[in-house]
Amino acid sequence: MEPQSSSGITLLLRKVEGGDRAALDELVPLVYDHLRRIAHHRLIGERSDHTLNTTALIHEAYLELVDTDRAHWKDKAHFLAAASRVMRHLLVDYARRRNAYKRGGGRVRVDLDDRIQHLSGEHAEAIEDLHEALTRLEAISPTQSRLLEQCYFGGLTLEECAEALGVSRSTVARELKLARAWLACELNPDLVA
Amino acid sequence: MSKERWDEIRPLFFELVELESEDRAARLEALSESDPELCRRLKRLLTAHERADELLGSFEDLISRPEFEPFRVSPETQQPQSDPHGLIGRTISHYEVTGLLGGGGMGVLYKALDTQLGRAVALKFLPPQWSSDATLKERFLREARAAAALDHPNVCAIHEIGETKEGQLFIAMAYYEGETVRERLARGPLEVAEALDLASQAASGLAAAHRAGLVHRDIKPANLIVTEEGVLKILDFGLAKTDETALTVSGMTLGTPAYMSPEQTRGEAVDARTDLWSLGVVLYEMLTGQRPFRGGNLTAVIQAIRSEEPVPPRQAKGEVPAEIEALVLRLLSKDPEGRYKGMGMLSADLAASSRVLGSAKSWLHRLGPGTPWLVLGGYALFSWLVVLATEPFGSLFGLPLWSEQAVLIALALGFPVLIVTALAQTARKSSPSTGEDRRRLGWLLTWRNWLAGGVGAFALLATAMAGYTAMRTWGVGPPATLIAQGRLDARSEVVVADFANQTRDSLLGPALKTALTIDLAQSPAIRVARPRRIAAALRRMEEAPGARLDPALAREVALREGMGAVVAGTIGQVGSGYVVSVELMSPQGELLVAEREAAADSTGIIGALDRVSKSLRERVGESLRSLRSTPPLEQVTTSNLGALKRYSQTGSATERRIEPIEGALALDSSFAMAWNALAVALQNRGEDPARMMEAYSRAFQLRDRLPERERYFVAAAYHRRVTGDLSEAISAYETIVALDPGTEDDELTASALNNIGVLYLNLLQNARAQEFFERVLEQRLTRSGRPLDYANARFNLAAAQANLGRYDAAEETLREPMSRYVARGQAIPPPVFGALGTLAAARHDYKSAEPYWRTMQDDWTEDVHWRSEATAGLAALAAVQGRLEEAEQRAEEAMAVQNEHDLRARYFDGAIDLAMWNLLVRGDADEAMQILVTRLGDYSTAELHGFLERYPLLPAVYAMAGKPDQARALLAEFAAEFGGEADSRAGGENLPWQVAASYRWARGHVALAEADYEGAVSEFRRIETGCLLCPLPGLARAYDRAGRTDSALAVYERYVTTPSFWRLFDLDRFALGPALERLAQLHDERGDPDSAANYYARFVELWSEADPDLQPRVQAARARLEQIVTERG
Repeated sequence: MEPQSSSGITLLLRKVEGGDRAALDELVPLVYDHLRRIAHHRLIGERSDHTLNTTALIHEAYLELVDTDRAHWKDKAHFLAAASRVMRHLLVDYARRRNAYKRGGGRVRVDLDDRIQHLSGEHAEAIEDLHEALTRLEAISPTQSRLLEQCYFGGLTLEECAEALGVSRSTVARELKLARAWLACELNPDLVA
Repeated sequence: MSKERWDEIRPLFFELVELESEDRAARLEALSESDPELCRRLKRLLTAHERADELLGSFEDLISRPEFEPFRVSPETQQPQSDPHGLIGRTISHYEVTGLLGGGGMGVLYKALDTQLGRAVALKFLPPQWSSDATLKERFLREARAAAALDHPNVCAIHEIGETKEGQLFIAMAYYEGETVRERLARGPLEVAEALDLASQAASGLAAAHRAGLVHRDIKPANLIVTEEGVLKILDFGLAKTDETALTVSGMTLGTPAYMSPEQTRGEAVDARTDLWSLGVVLYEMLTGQRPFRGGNLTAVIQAIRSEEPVPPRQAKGEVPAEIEALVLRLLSKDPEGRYKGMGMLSADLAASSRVLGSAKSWLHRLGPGTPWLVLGGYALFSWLVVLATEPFGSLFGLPLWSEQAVLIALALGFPVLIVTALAQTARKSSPSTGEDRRRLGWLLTWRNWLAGGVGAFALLATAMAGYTAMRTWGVGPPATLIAQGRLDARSEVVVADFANQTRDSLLGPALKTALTIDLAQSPAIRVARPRRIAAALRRMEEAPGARLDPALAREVALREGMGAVVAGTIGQVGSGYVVSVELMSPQGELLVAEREAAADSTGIIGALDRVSKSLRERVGESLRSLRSTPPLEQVTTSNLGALKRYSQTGSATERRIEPIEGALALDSSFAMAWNALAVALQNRGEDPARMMEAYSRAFQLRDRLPERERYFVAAAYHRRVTGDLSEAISAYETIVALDPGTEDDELTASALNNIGVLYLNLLQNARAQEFFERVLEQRLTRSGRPLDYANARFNLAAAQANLGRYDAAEETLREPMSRYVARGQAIPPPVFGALGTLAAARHDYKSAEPYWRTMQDDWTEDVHWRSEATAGLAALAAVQGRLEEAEQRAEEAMAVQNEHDLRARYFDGAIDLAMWNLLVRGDADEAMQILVTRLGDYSTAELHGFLERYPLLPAVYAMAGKPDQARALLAEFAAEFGGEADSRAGGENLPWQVAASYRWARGHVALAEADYEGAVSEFRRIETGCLLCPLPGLARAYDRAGRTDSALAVYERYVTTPSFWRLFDLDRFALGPALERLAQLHDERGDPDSAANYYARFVELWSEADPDLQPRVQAARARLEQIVTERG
């Protein structure tokens, strides 16, 4: 993909703000390559004991890709929302490969990237669990699924989530309470009331 | 769960979650009756909600930590509103609110008037939820009371904790006129003294608080106010964040995390040490004007706090004293354990630093403006000059290796004395001296004494150096060298054992051995045993050739071979560092020297090895001057350990593998030694000539990095192979010889001498060549008893002598060592027979030549190279005598062996021979072309070009076969590979000289085939180097065809009469018979029957046993000879 000029992304963000939801989907591929590149870079970095700091990464991407002088702070929320989705896919992809490796999944493959070793097994499993839970949640409550995606994979603040979802901050706070409770139930099937 | 179900649950959850527990239970009870399943789900969700942090905490941590910590609200939302509580103008309790001071997440601050006492106070109204949550409220009140009980000048006084009628909590505290440190910082960094003073006050206030069990938790510039009297007050005690998670859930703003301690950012339990951290951050900022942990956003700041080391304050701002930097960095220890044990200790340190600073300031000021800088600057300049001078001085006079350090220490000692003297002098100037003063030491501190002391110190140093050097040389005391003590002979041969490698990196051992060998080889005090010699010794000991040469085996080798010592190295790993140690021991196992150096990481290993090796060389007894002139190993080899590892994988010098050398060069393209090794390896293999020449060029460009002698070897090779400037090459070799005139027994010197001789041979200056070969062999004689293999020089000498026509001397030269071999019961080396055969053939004594090659062939059936050489010799002998069928049969036999064993250059020679016999002797061009196609058809152009000077023979065959156009095309293609001209008619001037000779030779034959006789003459006559005879038959033929019979006769005669050692293989095997025949005919035509008879006789004798198909020519000659003899009577 051609590298996108920062003004291009800023324009798309403007469109999102103007109510063009399709523009948000257009953003995803634009952000994808950039994030994948820096995520890979980070994952093959030397400090294998650290988990990937996705939030810092996404914020960095925003600074690099978006013309911050011209962008409104609301643009940032939309950008971060798109980036959260990308980050979810990237991390799930890594996690799957990591987990497949750990479980010796299927045939022995020798060409597995070294870099996936840098994702701890525990981390990889958590990511897969979260991804599956979010997919289930999406079927019954797309907004809450989105919200959790943005919080967990993008590290958005409540304000940013509110802006990205087009609802009030208090609504977001409320929905997040329920979504987290639901997730806690999902991840702890033995929990009794 | 279905979407419909979820849509039912969602509003119920939101409703229930807001209810008090009793109401909630009642509501759930009601729901349970109508829809028990729904109720169960809701209950479970509500429980999960209440325990969400506990249930999800570690999971959320795993997904990605920072976003679940208390920094959810972006700074943009923190703007204070004008009057959030609408209190201005109202009276609360006995406080009349007059204005807004500030506000934030922690509450809003108003200015008010205490109507009872008539003083200004600050009122802080706490967030409403604090008042509504009983637990929070309780905790807050407890802390606020403790804070109110604090009575300390550096802590803001709390007057009262009250509650409004609406139930909102507020605190009434002292109001100070002044500015906060935050406001002060907005104007830039503080003076060091000022910053320390403020930090000291803050530490004092905090110490008091900590003693009372209070932790502030939110020390930041905005919370430190400095009154107009300069007294610092800590604000907001007891208001600090108390429970991170509680705040997270409510989404509270906590402002900037920049001053938070790492443990705080992780939401861990914190103690008093978190205040130490925050104070450290504030102090850092006061000193430098910058925060130590910065970032574009909150998470970046947190990341920095947790894992990045701050830039040391002195780097951010130079005038910060070192002890204060240490203090700040100690406060900013990521691990709370690493910080001060308590505020009290910090206070003491800060106070001490302030005092030091105060006194430092005062003495600098006492010196008067300008003076200190003049004195310091002068001393710095002086020191710099002395340090600069030490190196060249040391090399010139061969000062001990520790001289530089000693000079540095002397200079460093002089400095404090200088300062004290300066102080004393100034003090004396300002206050006239008293008798009491004299009785103290003060009177000693004069400038004159300082100078005298300095001179004395350097004199002492010089004496120490002289004494050290003398003791070294005379073998007295600890500096005595091994050679001076007589424990090791000068120029002893030493064996370098394989490294004991205690690291996980198996390549490190060979790499270090390679480097150590390179360094030791530069020492004139010892000689490093060559790998070939050790391999031979191991063979004699019946050890496996690839056996690990551990110190024990190395000692055994040294003992058996009479070598002087063994060097054994060890590389070990200590944490991330390495230890390199090297021991020198006698063959009997006595430890002579042990040296050891450490490297902090792998990049320091080569440097450590260099130091170890240099120390070893010094202890052995190498002159200090020579030691100092040796460049460091990193320069001689490479500073890239990876490249060195690759290089050490390349095998012995004679059979280097190309791949690892290229690998080493890919890692370090300035690795001069590797370029040289690549060039030599390619040359030895006859591969990729263009790359070989490039490698020589690169090595030549980088030659300054090489050890001295290697440098000239590279220069010589470069001129020999690339520029073709043979006189430059000779002078480079002569420099090598001149470098060490006393010890010519060195193999490198010997090979330099040999190479000079070879170059003179190439320049056809046989007499000078002979001189140099004799010098090589003389050295061999001075070291009798050591079977050194200078066979090459011997054969070369024989060649020079034979070229001079001194056949008997040549024969004597070759036979001389045979008796020694016989006496020792050793087999005579095959080249001796080959050389004797060649010499006999040069004398046209083919009957004597044959037995040499037969013996060689029979004795060396096991060795394919020598056996095929012998067979090829017999083939040449048969061919020159016209026995072509036998020659062809033997040549085929040799070629089969050569083909099988990949002796490709020799195989190529064989194919060309077969073609030439058909062309020049039989005159069968079709057969010749057929041979080329069948024998060389499988070779690629690149491979054929790799044969370099041999290659032009191929196009020459095409030309002789009447295909000059094809010959031209082949030659042009060949020239282009060397960057030569594409135009095939140009002369090929860009070719390397050794290629140029045969290239011109081929071009001469092309011209001949095109009937351009003048062109051919000019090409042949321009061949001035290499092979003396080679152009002659072609030149003669050109004259002959041009009708210049006299010239043709003269050239033919020169060809058959000029002595030349290599003539059988250069030309005779296909040119001698036809030349004699043509000479006879030409004399006959010119009416010189005597000369004609002479050559007819020689021709008939030579070809007396020629093949039947050639016999008609012999019979014709014999008939004519008889006719002349009859006619002349």
